[in-house]
Amino acid sequence: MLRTLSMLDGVSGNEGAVREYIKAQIQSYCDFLVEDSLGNLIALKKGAGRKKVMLCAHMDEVGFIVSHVMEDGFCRVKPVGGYDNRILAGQRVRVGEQKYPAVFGLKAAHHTTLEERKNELNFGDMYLDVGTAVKRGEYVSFDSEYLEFGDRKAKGKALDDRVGCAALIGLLQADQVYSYDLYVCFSVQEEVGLRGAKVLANRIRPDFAMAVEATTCSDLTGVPYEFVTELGKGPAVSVADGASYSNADYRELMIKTAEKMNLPIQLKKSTTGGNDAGALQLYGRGCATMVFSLPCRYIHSPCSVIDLDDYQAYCQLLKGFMEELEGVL
Amino acid sequence: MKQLLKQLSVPCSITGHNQKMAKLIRDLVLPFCDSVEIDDFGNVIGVKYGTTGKTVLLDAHMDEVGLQVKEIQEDGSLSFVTVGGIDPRILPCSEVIVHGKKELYGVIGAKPPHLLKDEDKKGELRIADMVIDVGMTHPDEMVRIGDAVSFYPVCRELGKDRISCKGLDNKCGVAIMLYVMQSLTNCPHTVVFSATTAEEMGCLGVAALMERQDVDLAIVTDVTFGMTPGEDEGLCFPLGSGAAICTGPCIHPNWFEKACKTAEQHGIPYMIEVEGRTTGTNTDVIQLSNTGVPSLLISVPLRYMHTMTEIVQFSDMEAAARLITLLVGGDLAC
Repeated sequence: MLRTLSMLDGVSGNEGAVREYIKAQIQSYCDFLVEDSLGNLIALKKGAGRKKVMLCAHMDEVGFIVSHVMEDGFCRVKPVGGYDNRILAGQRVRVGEQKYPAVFGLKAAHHTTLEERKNELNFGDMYLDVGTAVKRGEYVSFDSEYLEFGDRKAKGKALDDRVGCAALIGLLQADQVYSYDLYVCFSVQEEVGLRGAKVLANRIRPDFAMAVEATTCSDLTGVPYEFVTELGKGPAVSVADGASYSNADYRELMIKTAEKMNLPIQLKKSTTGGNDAGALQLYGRGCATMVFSLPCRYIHSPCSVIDLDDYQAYCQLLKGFMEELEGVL
Repeated sequence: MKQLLKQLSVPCSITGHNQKMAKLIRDLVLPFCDSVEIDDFGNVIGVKYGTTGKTVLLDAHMDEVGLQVKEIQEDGSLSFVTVGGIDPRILPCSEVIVHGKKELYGVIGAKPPHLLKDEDKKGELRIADMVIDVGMTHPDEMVRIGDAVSFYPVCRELGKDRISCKGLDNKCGVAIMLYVMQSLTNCPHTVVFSATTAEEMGCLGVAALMERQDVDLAIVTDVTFGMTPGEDEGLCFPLGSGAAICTGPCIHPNWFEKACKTAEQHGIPYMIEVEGRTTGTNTDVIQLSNTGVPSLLISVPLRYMHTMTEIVQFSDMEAAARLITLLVGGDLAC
């Protein structure tokens, strides 16, 4: 399932293919299934109590959009979502519904001076080499195969946040009923400003909400205090990030659940980044939020890497936590 | 030609690590030669004997640029060096294969955007700051210092007639020469096919080869620069314009004229490439070997040279192959 989800194209604003796949996976397992005007998918599992719990994973991925068509199959693009421009030169992408293969072009190395190579490539100077005619407005995603390698690692594009989507699909398919009403939401446009989540918060107004995400892991390319998370040490819970403060009581509950289930867990060691919890905390009626993430190396690139044992723990801990929540709400 | 190129571009043929490629090329050229050998330097040399007493050399270098493992770090990541000229800016978040005891998949690591300080973003991307992540904390059993690391091969067809892959510099040349060998059914001259190594490190393979070869004409195929936005028109050729016939001090002037005339007579699209000094290809070494060899350089335009996503157009390769076949099969009078 992770392979299928990773390879579907769903750049922010164009999540249709991902949404249709998810719908097909979950429709037999929820009491209500609604798609709102933005494209958010909301699945409700009605419970016994009056409390509302919301889980949220975003369906969109970072990518590009064709902004200007040039001659001979070249075009310029604008970014959709944020990433490190330094990874783009020479990358493989695919364009539009037809998925035309294309390349991020750059000047031949032989024609650049040493001085020029010291400078970062400007996004404005970059172009796509498609070889066929494309139209303005067509979406472009990274062209990257999902594959498993090394010691239980997996690589693919869009693992942020297809891993979250996969975990939520698994939770719904376990078909459990809880003492609270559970809203499992698959949001749109998280990468361009948590936009889908704002609308979801207004509509659902939960008592507690948790973003089920993927997060930065720079354990090979950073110094120890910059690791943020480490691959192989289990799923991560946040203290705070650039968009929200995680509720300490719920975080404690998650950590206790992990101990009880003998599953690894780590704290996210940075306060940067943002995700849907930011919108969920501040919009609607505002509520306690948490961020539960899977560490992901090279996040926002065509070759993001996760640890499959971490992923298994992530899915199991999620299920366990939802049960423990019943005792608290 | 398409299938041949795809087959050739997949295996690793980094300078110094191209034994497997040499064997593959030997097997591919064998049906068209009287004898084929791989010499001590690693060059593939195939000979098809003729009766006129004249010898033509067809050369294409078979090595490609790549990386090599420098050190295995404590956390299991691999630091590396480049083999051949590579712009470091193409490396972050690229896929590679480490040729250790087994072929290991790897990703070249770069720091994620959330953690970049502004100075980082502006700074130079250095090979020394990058590592290869093979997803193992202890790869020591599988990987040694010095193992070759090639770009992960993904061949994609772009548009109607183009292909994008690693190693098209110079598997294009090799494919063209193999095609020529296949087409030369009635050639009266002796033809020597050479797929030489170490061109990327200074045309070393062909230098070794020429110590033992005595030829009347040498034709080299390599790649030249394909036109892309922002490039100088004097330095690049649009894809689809045909074969690029080189002229300048390294090229025999009569043969250059003959090549252009032949192309015109047979309606083969071509352009003229001008190199005022050396060409940066095996031609430079061949021309000066022994008592001097009349040489021709015929190239195809290629975009994004020395990256994982080089692009060429098949019609350009076909033009070059047809032209060379006509020149070699002719009377060699010039």
